[in-house]
Amino acid sequence: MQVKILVPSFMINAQDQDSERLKPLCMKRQKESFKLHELTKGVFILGNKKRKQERRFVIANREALIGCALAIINFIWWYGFAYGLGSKPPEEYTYILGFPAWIFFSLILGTLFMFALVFFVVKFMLTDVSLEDEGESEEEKDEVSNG
Amino acid sequence: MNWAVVIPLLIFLAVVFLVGIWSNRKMAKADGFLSDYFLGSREFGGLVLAMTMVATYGSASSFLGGPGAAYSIGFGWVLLAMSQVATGYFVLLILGKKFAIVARRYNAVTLIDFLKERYKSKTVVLLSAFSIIVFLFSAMAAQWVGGAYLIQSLTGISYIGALFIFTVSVLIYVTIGGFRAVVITDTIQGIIMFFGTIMLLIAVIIAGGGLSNIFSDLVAINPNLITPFGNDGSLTAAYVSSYWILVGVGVIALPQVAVRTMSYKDSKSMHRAIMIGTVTVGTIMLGMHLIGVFARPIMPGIEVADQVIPLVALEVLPPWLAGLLLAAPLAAIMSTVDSLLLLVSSSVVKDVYINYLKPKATEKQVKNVSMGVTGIVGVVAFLLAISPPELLIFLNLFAFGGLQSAFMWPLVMGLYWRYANKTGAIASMIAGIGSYIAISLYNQNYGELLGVHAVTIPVFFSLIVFVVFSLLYKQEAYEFPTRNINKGA
Repeated sequence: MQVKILVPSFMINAQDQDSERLKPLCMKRQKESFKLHELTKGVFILGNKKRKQERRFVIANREALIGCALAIINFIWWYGFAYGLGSKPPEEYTYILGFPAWIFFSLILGTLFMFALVFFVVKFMLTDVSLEDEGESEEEKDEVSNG
Repeated sequence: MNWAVVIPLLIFLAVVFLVGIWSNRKMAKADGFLSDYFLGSREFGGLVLAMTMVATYGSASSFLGGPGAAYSIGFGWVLLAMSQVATGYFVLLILGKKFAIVARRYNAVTLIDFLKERYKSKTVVLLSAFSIIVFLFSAMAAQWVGGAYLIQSLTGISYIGALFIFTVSVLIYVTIGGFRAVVITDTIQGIIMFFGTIMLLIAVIIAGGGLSNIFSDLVAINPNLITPFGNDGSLTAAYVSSYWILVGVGVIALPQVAVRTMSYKDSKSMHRAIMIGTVTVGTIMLGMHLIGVFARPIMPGIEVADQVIPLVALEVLPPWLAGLLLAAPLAAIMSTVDSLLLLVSSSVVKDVYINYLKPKATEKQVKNVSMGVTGIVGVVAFLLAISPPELLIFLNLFAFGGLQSAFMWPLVMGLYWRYANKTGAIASMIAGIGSYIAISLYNQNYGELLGVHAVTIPVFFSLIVFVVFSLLYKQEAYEFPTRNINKGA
């Protein structure tokens, strides 16, 4: 895909005449267009060149991977503390707040930790998108023309 | 009969019926009987979505079977049960927005609608309908048994009598209400379950004389109860971990759960539901199973382990509070049964009747057949539950495993892999169900194969089969339609 640099033609002409003064402005524009490219990149890598993958599906794919990552973290915490601390004979258990240590860390703290992690992910990593198709068409056209 | 206990229960049931009638009125106004009866017109917000998922999933097994197992096996079972926290976030994040968007474009009301449109194959539809009818029946019979046990231990009437009362109330309720009624009461039930669990846990700890007292009593009964390895040391790490598939991440493939992930209003609802759902399911699962173990020193020698929760609630709480609180498991069971009933009848009505028997059925015919089938299915489940197996959790889990072996990959790969095709889906469903039934039978006679739950191997096996067959009979990469399929692209 070609990156279209969003610099109006009059500016390019101006550049020849007064390049020093306008350069920073051009650079800035250029950077922005690269950023746009970055955002839609997933679209072009996942789809073949003729078709784009929808922006919302790219988001959905990313969030599905986040879901997998959460489950893996959850599993490691759960497994590690339970069998790491619980494998010795029960007479040797240490107690924390009345619970044997493995129960406290794996079951109780682990559950609270997952609550916190899930809140963090929802607040900072998920994206709001529309589930309906109305009003989407314009945006899709934009993506196509950028390609 | 203990009226102090029964009256709060009756009040609760009355409220539930009123909700059913109210939502039936509302449905009369909504356009599109099918979409509203089976899906509630995709209008649910965060709290409702979270609660209905928790209540559907957290069925008799989490209120009766699970704590019962924890009572006999100890903390090893609590550890196993905590794999369920994953369901709170995993299902919505994985199926999430993509499923909701695609389901809208397909006008899909059930999981089978999605598979039908994605794979465009009659065989896939019939295989799915078959698995839903067979496996959900097992799940439903288990819930029926749980409901009857519960009514029996509360009222003291005979098992058959209790079963009859349960069947009648469920059937009236679900036939008048449909999905919306089920979902709204799920919400009420979920809230009762959440606070009820916390209350009962505190009461049990007090009755047991504090945590350190309870733990030293447990050690005195059997030190293995407080290890992760079960009362006889036979719970291996591999076996317990394999439950992460069965009751953790695999829950994604349960049709009754999947259908809910397309019923929400917007992405904000989904985000809220992830938070509320995780906290609710985590609290209920941890609380209920802790109650199960802690009940051991308070009430040793309970014979039917499934009755631990009702008995301990009656023991440690004042009767009226116990009645109110036991409305929660009854509610959980009812709502699970309701959703299963709806699903089984939707498979029969939508996927078989409308698709293949009578494509031009009028709205009225569909309505009558829907209600009729729901009724018949309920009566058959009643008959199946008359002579119940001892531990209903295993019947329930058998059904879970079967559904997961069948639906896991056709659903997930259909959404996320462009080269997933119908040959892969058919092969994977047959391989999954076949190997699951074979391994279940093998395990029953010879002990767990490779020391893991029967669902583990079929899940991996059907994935391999899916990929291999999709590639062997390779078709062009699938693209989802960009518009609603009825409006035309």
